[in-house]
Amino acid sequence: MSIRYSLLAILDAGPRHGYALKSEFEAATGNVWPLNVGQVYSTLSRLERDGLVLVAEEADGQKMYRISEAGRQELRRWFGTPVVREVVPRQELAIKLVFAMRAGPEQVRDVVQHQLVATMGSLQEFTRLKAKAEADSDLAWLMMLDALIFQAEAEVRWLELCEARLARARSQPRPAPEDAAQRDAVRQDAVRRDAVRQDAALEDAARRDAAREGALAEDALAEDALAEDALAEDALAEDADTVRDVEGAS
Amino acid sequence: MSVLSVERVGYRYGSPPRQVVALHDVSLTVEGGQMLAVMGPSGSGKSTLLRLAGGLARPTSGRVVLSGSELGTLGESDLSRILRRQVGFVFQDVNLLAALTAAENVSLPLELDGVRPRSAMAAARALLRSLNLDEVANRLPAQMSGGQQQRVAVARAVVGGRSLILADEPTGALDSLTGESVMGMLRARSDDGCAVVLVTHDARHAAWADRIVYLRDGRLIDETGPPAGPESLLSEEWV
Repeated sequence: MSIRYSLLAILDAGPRHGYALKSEFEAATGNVWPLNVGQVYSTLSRLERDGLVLVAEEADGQKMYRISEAGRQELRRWFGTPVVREVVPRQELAIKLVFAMRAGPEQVRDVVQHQLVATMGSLQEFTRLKAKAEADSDLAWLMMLDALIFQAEAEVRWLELCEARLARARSQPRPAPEDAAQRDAVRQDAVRRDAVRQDAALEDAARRDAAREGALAEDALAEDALAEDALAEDALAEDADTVRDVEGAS
Repeated sequence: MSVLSVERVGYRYGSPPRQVVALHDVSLTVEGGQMLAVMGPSGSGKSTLLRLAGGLARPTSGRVVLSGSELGTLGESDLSRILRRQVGFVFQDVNLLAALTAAENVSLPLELDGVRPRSAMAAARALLRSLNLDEVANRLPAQMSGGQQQRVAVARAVVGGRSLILADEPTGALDSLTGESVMGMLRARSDDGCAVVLVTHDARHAAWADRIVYLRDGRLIDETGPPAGPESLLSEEWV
């Protein structure tokens, strides 16, 4: 997790006491992510266990932490590795919206509007913090705020899109099947047909795979044959050499 | 006294049965030193609201009061004088005059207001300098980048200490950083005591405001702000 690497990154600049690590981490991230000191020490002891930091006890009993060579390598590896995106993040808001849909469009509009007001409030705060970071020329914190701002903006744009979709759905009502049973039947039929299509596609794919394997096997045989031919040619050439050698000798 | 007070304003156009209600019973006030953002989807009435606030159109009901003067009761010449002295507009399409340099564009509103050309030009140059735009002072709009043009347009909107700035998507065509510098200029004017109303669908730019109101189908439905302070951002846990 990133606390581990953040601590390594701070230690990369020089040895620190545990508490200094906590305050430096918080200052670097604008105090938006407070760490509890227990978290810091438990992470440090895992880093020590893994040989990534070295600990020296000082005369007053305080522990001084220092990054090891393995720790430096681990940090470089972290910097060089892209962060893996969760393909489908388990997002409370998305889940809330999906279930609000069941309660009806009014409920969704409520969720969207309340969230919009709240997210715009966060965006306002980030923007204010950014003006301050700009005045302080705190570039690292500034870029982090940019990230938070773009994330909040993405959420706002998504919420606005949800609302626009709802509005459009309201203005162009689709011809509804006469009753729920019929709708269910239609849906089940669609699912069945989809399943049949999928089966067909799978069979098709299997057939293609088989054909491809067959072709590969043929290729392999052909390659074997070529290799045999090459061996045979080599042997002939060797024979010819032998013949020449013998003739030369005699 | 509020700089701008919009009171139960309605605006409709066309005639029945094809009448369109663009705004319905909208009220809001903006004080000096306050920046207000109006957000809403296309067609929600944002730009109409801005036009009414700036006296470019008259409401079909309700009233608009600018620094104590009700715009609906003024004759044409009084209205245009008050608007020229008190209101600066910034639009998405920068409408600088192509034949005039940046400094001439900025000094023009002052000259129209009776300031002598020499003093108007001196004021324009001083303003451009304070906005770090002195390098473009003698250039024609065609010789400036889009961002520079828009910043000059903001300078023209604020010159002469006007009390209200109305901006309609002022950052629409600009890249993120340039857009930010334009927003920074508007924010700075508001911190200096000017009232600023910004119409935008861009959440990042609306977030510069002290207060954000939301328009849907011509009605004000909600608002955000004033800001609750950075504590509001603290996450409960982070591992």
